Amino acid sequence: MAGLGAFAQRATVSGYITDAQTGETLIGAGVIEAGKGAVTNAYGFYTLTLAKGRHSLTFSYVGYAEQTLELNLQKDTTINIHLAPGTALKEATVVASKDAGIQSTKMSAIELPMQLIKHTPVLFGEHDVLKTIQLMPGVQSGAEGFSGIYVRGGGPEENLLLLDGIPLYNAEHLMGILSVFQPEAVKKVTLYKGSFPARYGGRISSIIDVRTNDGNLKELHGSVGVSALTDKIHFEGPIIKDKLAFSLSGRALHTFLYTPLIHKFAGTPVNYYFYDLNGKLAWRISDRDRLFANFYNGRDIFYYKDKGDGSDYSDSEYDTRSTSAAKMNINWGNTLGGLRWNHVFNSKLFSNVTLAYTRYRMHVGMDIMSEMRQKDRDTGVETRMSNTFRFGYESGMRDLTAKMDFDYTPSPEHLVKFGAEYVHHTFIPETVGGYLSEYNSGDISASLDTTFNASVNDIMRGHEISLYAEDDFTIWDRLTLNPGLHAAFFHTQGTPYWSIEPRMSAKVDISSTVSAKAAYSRMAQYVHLLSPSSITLPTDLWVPITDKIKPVTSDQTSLGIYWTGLKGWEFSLEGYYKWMHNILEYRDGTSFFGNSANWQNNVEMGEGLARGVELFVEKKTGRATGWLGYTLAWSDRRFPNGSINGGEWFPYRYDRRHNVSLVFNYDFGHGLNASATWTFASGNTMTLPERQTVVVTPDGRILQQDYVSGRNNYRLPPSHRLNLGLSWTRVKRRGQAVWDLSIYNVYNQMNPNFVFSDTYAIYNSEGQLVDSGVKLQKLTILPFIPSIGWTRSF
Amino acid sequence: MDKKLLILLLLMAFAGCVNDMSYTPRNTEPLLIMNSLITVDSDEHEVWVGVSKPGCVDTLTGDAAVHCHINDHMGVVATEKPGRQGLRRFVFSAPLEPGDKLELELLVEKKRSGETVSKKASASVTVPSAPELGSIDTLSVGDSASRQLAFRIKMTDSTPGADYYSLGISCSSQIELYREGVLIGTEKFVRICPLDTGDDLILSEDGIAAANMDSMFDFGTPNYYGAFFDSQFDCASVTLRPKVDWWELKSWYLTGFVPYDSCYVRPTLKVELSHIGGRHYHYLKALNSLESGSGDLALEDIAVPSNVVGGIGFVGISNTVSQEFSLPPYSNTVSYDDDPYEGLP
Repeated sequence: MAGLGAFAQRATVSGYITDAQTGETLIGAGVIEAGKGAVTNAYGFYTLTLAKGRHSLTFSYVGYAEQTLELNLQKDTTINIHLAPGTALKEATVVASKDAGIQSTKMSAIELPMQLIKHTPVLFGEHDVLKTIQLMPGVQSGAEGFSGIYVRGGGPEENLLLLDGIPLYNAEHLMGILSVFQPEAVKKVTLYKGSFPARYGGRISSIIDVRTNDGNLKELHGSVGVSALTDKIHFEGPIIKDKLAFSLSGRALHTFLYTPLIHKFAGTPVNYYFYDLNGKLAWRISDRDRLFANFYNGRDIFYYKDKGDGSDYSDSEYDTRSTSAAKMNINWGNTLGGLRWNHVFNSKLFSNVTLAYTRYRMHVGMDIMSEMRQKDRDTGVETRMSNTFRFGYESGMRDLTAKMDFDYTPSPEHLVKFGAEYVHHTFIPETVGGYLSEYNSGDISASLDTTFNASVNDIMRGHEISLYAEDDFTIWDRLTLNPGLHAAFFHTQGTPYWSIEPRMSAKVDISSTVSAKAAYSRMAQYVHLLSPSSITLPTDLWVPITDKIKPVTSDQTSLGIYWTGLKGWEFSLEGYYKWMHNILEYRDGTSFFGNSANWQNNVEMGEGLARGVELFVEKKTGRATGWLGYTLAWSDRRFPNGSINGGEWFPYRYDRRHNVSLVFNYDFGHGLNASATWTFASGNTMTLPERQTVVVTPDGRILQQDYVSGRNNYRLPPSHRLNLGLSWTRVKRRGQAVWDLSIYNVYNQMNPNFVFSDTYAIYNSEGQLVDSGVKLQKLTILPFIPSIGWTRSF
Repeated sequence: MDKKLLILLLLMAFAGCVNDMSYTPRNTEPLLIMNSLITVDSDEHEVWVGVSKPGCVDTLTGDAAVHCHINDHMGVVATEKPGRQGLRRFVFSAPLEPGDKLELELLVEKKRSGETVSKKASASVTVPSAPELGSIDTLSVGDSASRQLAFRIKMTDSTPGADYYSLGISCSSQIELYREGVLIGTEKFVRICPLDTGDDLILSEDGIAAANMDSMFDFGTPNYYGAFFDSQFDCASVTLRPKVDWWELKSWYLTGFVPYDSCYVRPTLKVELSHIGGRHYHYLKALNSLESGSGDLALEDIAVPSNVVGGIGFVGISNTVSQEFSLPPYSNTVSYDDDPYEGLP
């Protein structure tokens, strides 16, 4: 009864925390009272239960002026707070985020504010979300300079990329040089690589949760920008002030500059461009209900268009005229749309309902036409012969998702999240269709009209249902726990799969400045990416698990220790041990190309082991900010049935022993900001012939062959580079102008993007061997590259 | 100064290119090569030896001997016979029973700067049990242009655990050559027929057959050596369903020019089922990949299994059973556009 009495003496304060100037919700903003605190969720909503009576609540967010509110709390109360942007250099009162950061119960979860992404030196003047993530410990790029993300020994297909909670299946442009996330549209990015919240599932290595701007509810703002590669535009503003806002962003490769150059130097009528389009509507129906609609479309387009000259020629009998035309178009990209409804049931229960559609599609279209007209000089009779060939190839996948998420805060000591999700997957591995037409007016019987369709792989469907629940609760002042459970059911081609994925993380505050964390996560993945190369290719195929290919699972255990004893600094040291099961690898001797049909026969299931230690030292406040990240890591693979590397353990292709990233940012004031990043990575491995040998075949032949001792048997030299950036912001009468100057790879280090090998043997005139060996060559496509960008905002 | 700086910047900006890289393999020392594929019921077993270097295969020089140990006892010393392609060849005969442990030891002695340098490489394998081959049926399928001979081969796997096999189909053509009705010579031609395993779930577990070209995007990995294992029929009987191309099966050629005008051919089919070890299976699969992917630049380098200690190479042993049956004989008449006897005595 005493307990019930205590509950009766409590009341809850809840509401949204927003930016006072724009009305934008602030994710991870804090509210604190006498040591008890809460933070806003992914939709800017907070809830805090306190004893009835007088309280002094402090609302804070990094980069914003704190606000304190005196309150006599007698019943459940809604308070929406509007924080005014302040100096970013001032340290705000820190409230422990429940999801990410050194103070949270979760470990190996990092929040990346857009300010940080915008101040990182860039390639071609393009700020890039994924390339900034690559600078975090435990994360590395695949091919040097590309956006591929390899987290804690996992592959790029093992990362779940979410745009406002909706999965993106291909997040790269220009084969991976840039990612699809347009910084102007992005509000916040969170990376999870160790202890995964139970609400996430479906990938085993990382979750990258990108949240976009809702739109300015107060007044119209926008920006236009130009960089070495793209033109950008961004608008946001109210449609109905304080009620309905829009945000619209677009980016495209300025192909109008490059088309004439390509035509002139390549001598062929080809071109390439990409674009991104982000749109969002945010409607504040009431204090309890908010509705969001978001849309993204991005494509890479390569095309070729040529026309025959229609040349005339004559002979004695006929006047003949022929024409021809050929068009080819290869395009690929994502389309994504979502509807979200936030509803506050009461001050303790918040819900989010999402309906989403996401599609990745690659399309090849070809249209070839030729026509010949012959006119008999004597009779004047004209004969027409024509050929038309149209060909279409398509692959991709689409998901329809419905999900419900709930945040329930029964008391300040607990934050319970639970929900359910249903995803209907449609995989279209490869379909081909075409039309062939031949017409001859002189001989109708020779004419034909044929339409054909073929599917290399059957269209496959999958049904995925998942349920989750997690609770972040404080056992006593020094110990917080976050147990969770994610249960998933996947059904495809008559085969059901279940997975029960327990998650647990714990944090112990050893002292006021030292804490320790431990975490365990089991993850399961039901889709695979057939991608044989180290860069993103449009031909990469997403396929589901099948009755032969089982889900990929991982069991990851992490331990970490954290120190915040130096004002403005954070130190963390984390170790992890990750087992991966049923991971896929192409079998020895499987060609890179044309391997999608019967793909199940070309891959092998095996196990992976990744372990490592990550050091992260970050200076968060002051004029000089930045971090040092160091990773010592091992990542190995084994395929016990022996079809790869004879069943022995071998290093993963991106098994890089040491990774260092050093990021430095200095704010000179007056709008001038300088930044530098230096990265170092041990070389990755590759499979190389080491010598020559002979093999004997069962039919008695003797063949001379390259001898390869094992998969990934050679380690390439390390790569390193320094990037510098200078950003100059000039305040104008209306808005501001920002100049971004970047130098990529300042000291022109010839890091290999691709490596080729060949064997050689030199004989003298008498046929004696003089020298022999293996020759390696590297292709460096990203040397010293200066770039400039300009953005004008208003 | 500004101009020089600009030129320097431009040079650096366009410096992206192909450059040589240093390559430092862990071991560049010459290594002994020893290769042998032993069939239990063969009268004579061959061992091929050589030297592997980073860029070439060299002939083994010096005194070399191959010793054969059976169940850790000295069996025989192999006899050297003429080799080919720069390799030295040793042959030995030995009675082998299932379960026997066979070890081949290559010993090389070479005089260098007045001192004798010895090198040794060895490999050991266990003789597998004989496979159980059941009845075999054939059926001619397809039209005259794409006729195939379809097989139904029954076999039984009787030992628990992973067992590996290879299936081979060959056609031996006994050819009698006639000129104006007179027998002028006989020849024997043996053709090993590539298997079309497209319809067979067991034989095609690693890919589809070379002959199955239905797919626009995947010509598959042919199973040249018919290697398979019992993952789908452990301790059970199964019917294998390979096909071979009818015209390829019956085709033959003569080793030299013989001016015949008609021939009489008696073809005999031979189906061989071999029980092999796991590494032998992967060796055959690697060979399969090497041969099917030759010329494919996108093919990742293939590691061919090696079981030779102190060197590289592969020693494999198979226990083979076979069945032979005769196909209907046929005769052919040759018509020459030009007189084939012109200029001949």
